[in-house]
Amino acid sequence: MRFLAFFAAAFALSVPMVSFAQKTPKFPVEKYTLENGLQVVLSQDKTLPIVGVVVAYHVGSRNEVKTRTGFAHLFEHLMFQGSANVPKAGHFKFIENAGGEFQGTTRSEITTYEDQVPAEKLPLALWLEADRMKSLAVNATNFKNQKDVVKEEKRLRLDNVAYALANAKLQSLSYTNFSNQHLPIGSMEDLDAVDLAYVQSFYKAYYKPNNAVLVVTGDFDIPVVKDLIIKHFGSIAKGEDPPKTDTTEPAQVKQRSATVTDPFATVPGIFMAWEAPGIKSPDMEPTELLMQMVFAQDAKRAAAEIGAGENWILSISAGLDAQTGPSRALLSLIHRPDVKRKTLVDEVFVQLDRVKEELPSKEEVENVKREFLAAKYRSDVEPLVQRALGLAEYSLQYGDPSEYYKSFERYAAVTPEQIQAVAKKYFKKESSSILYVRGKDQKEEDEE
Amino acid sequence: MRRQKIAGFRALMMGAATLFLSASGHALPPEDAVPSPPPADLAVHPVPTLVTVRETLPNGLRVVICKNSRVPLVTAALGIPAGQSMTDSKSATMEDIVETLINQRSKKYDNKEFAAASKKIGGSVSFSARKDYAIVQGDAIASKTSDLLGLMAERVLRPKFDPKIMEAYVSQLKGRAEMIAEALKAGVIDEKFDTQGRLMRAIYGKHPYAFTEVNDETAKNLTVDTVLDFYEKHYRPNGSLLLVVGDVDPVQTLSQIKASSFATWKRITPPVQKTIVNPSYELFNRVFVANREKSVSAKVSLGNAIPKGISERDMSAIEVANAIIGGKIDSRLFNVIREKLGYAYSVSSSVSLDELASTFTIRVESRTSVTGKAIKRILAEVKEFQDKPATAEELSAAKNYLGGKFLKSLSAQSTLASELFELEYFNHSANWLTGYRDRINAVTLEDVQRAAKKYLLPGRAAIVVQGDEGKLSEELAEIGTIQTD
Repeated sequence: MRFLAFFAAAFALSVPMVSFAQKTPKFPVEKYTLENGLQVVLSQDKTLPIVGVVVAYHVGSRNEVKTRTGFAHLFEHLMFQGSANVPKAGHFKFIENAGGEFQGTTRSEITTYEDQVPAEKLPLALWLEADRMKSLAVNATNFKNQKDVVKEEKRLRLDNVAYALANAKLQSLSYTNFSNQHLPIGSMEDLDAVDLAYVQSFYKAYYKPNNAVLVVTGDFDIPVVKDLIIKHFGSIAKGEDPPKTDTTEPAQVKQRSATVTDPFATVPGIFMAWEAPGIKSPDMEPTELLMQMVFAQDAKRAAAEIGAGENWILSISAGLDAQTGPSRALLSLIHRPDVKRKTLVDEVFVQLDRVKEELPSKEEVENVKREFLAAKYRSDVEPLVQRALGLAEYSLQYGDPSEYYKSFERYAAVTPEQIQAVAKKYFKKESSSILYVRGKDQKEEDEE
Repeated sequence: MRRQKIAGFRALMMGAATLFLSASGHALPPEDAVPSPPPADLAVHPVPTLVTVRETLPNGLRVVICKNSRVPLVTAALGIPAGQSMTDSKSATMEDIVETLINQRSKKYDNKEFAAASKKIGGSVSFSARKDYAIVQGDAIASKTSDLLGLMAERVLRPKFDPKIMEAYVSQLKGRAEMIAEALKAGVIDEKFDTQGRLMRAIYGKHPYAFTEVNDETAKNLTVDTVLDFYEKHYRPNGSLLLVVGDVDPVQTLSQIKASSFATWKRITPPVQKTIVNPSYELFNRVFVANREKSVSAKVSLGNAIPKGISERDMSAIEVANAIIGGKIDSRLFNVIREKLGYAYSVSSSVSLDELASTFTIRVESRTSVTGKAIKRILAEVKEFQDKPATAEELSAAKNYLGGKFLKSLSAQSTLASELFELEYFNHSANWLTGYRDRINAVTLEDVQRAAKKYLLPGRAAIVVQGDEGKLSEELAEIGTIQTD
C-alpha cells in the first residue's frame, strides 16, 4: 500500500491520486431482459448465505396527475394487501417467518419492494414478488383502510412535525412543473377523492414487467436463479408502454423566496435549493461532495464558521436529490431567532464563494471523500438489499446497473478542481430558491 | 445520491379479502381458485469460516484478527474486564463513571479534536461499559487501520483525568443519588423513570447486574480516588481482548499491533473477584410500583433471572421459546395482547444472555384501565406455553426467524464484529457462529417446553409497573406481593 501511495503521488499530475489510494467495492453484475420486458440484474456475493431481492417499478410521485397526489405511495401500501396466492398481510408473515425483512418505498421516480431472506428462501421471495406483479388483490375494505393508514402516516410524519412542512413548500417553490412540485406523501384531499377504480387503471398503466427491474444480490447459483425467475416471472404478460410524463423544467433565471409559519417550530429555519446535476451527469459526484464539504453538520466550513463561537446555527443538513429528471441540491439551517435571516443567507453564499475563489486543499477533499465513502459503504453496500436497491436505481434511472459500482470509483476520483468547478457552475444566487420558516412565536418584524 | 422517499410500511393489519379487483393485462384467478402454496426452499448454504489470526501478546493481551473483504472497511473492538460485573453495592455504576470520565478527554485530544481525528479516517471511535466488560469500538476505511488502532489506544490507555472535572462529576452524581432517593420516597416519578433499570434491581437484588443506578452506599464512597482506583485496578491487558475485523491483511495488522502502544501496555495483577450474591429464584411474583399520578397509561416490565451455567442446548431452546412467545411480531403475545384483545400497541419479550446470569423480560405499555388485565393475560399466556407444547408451525417459524436474524447480524461488519467479539471474549466453541443455525434447528418441541417450564417467568416474576398506583393497586395485588425497596 505504501508503494502504491508513493507511485500515485509521483504521477499525480496525470492520474488522480485517490484512484490508487482508495479501494472501492466491486461485485459482478449481469443484466438481461425477459421476453415480457422485465429487466433482470444479478449481482453475486457468496460471502454470506443471504440474498437481497428488489423489484423496482419505474413510477413515482412525478407520474401523479393533478388531484391524485399521494397515489403512488398509497398504491405501494395496497401491494401488501394480498394477491392471488398470498392472503392479506401474508407477505409480512411469510417473510418474517422465513427469517427475512421487507420494505416498500415510494420515491419521486421509482417505487421499490425490497426483501432480504436467507439464501435457501430465494424461491419464496421471488414467488411473493411475482404473485403481486401479476395478480394484486384489493377490495373496498382494505382500500379504505390503507387510505386511513396513509393519512395517519401523513399526520404523524408531516403534519405534526416541525419543519416537515418546509420540505413540501420548498419543493413547490424550487420547481415550476407540477410533476416535480409535490412530495410523494401527497395531499389529504387527493387521497380522500381517489376511488377503487383508479387503483385498476394505475396498476394497468405502471405495474407490469416491461416497466420494472428485478434485482437479486447475494449468495445464489446463477443457473438456479435464472430458472426460478423464468418460472415465476416469465409468464406475466407484457403491458403497453407506460404513459410518458413531462418533467422538464425551464432554467431558473431569478432567485425565488417565500416565508411560511410553522406552528410546530420553536425557532426559525432557512431551507434552500439550487438547480443541480442529476444521476446521469458527471457533475453529480463532485456536487454531492461539495455539499458534504461545505455544509455537513460537523464540517469545518459552514457549521464552524457561520457565527463562530456564538451558535448561530442550531442544526444544519445538506444533500443532493439527484434524479433522472430535474434535480436539486438541498440545504436546511435551523438558527437562533435573534440572528437575522438575511445575514445567514449571505453567509451561506460567502461559504460557496470561498470555494469558487480558493481551491480546496487536496487533504480536505481526501478527508471528505473518506468519510463520505465509508458511510456510503456501510449504508448502501454492506446490506444486500440496499445494494440491490442501488443496482435497481442505476438500472432504471441511469440505464446501466454496473454504473452503481462504478459510481464509487467516480466519488473516489473527484478532485478539488472538480469541486470548485461545480460550485461555480451550479451554486449561483439566481438558480437558488429560499424558503424561510417562521417559528410559532416569531414576529415578522424580527426577521429582517 | 440522497434518496427522497417515504418508506417503512409494514403490513400489520388483519382482515379478510372478499372482492378482488381485476386488472387487465395481469392474469387474475377465478374467485374460487385454490391458492398455491409457496415454493420449496433451496438447499441451506453454510456460513463460511473467516480467515483468522490469533495471538496472545507477552503482556497477556489477546489479539484476534479476521479477514472480511466485502467492503473496504475495518472495525475493531477492545474489551476490558471492567464491566458492571466487577462492581458491588459499594461501587454501583463505577464502570459507567470511569467510562464517562475516560470519554471526557485523552492526553492528546479533547472531545472535539478526537471526533475530528476519527472523521479523517472515515469512521468513529466510541467507548462504553457493559454488564461483563468495558469496550472501545471503532471503525474506519480499511487503509486507515493503523490510525484507527492508534485512536482506540489513545482513548483507553491515555485518558486524562482532570481533577476539577472529576470533582464536579462526583458531586453531580451524589446530587443525583439524593434526588432519586427522595423522588422514590415521595412517590413522584417522571416519564424519564428507568423502568428497565428498576426491573434489574428487582430481579437481581445484591448481584452486580442490579447496580444500574448510583445508590446511597456508592455515593458515600464516591471520591476522585475511588474512581481512579477502579481504573488502575481493572484496565489491564491481561484479560482483555483486541479484535480487528475487516478488509485487512491479518499478518500485517498483527505486526502493526505488536509495534503499537497495545504491546507496551503494562500487565498488572488482576483484582480479587468480588463475591457474587446470586439473584433469588423463589417461586412468587413480586410487584414494584413506580407511582405516576394521573398517568393514563402504564409501562410494565416483567422479568426473571436465568441462572449461570445453562447448557448450549438449553440456551438455544430459550431463544426459540422467546421467539414463539413474544420475540417477534408474529408471536403469541403480539397476536393475543395487541391483535386480539387490543390491550396494548406494543408487547414483546427478549432474552439477554450474559456471563453471570441471563434475563428473560417482557415489556408492555397499555392504557391504565386494562393494565392489570394485560399483565394477568401475559402471565396466563406464558403459563399456557409451559403447559402445552408449541405447534410444529410455530417451531419452524421461530427457527427460520432466528436463523435469518442471525445471518443479517453477520452482514454488516459492525454487527459481525460484535458477534465475533462475544465468541472470542467468552471463549465459545469454534463453531459458535458457523454452527448457530444448526444448533437452533436442532431444538425440538420438547426442548422448547422444557425451557419454558424451567426458565420463563410465571410464579417467579419481578413486575415493575410505572403508572397511577391509585388506579392500579387493587388489580396488581391480585397478581403478586406488592413490594417496596
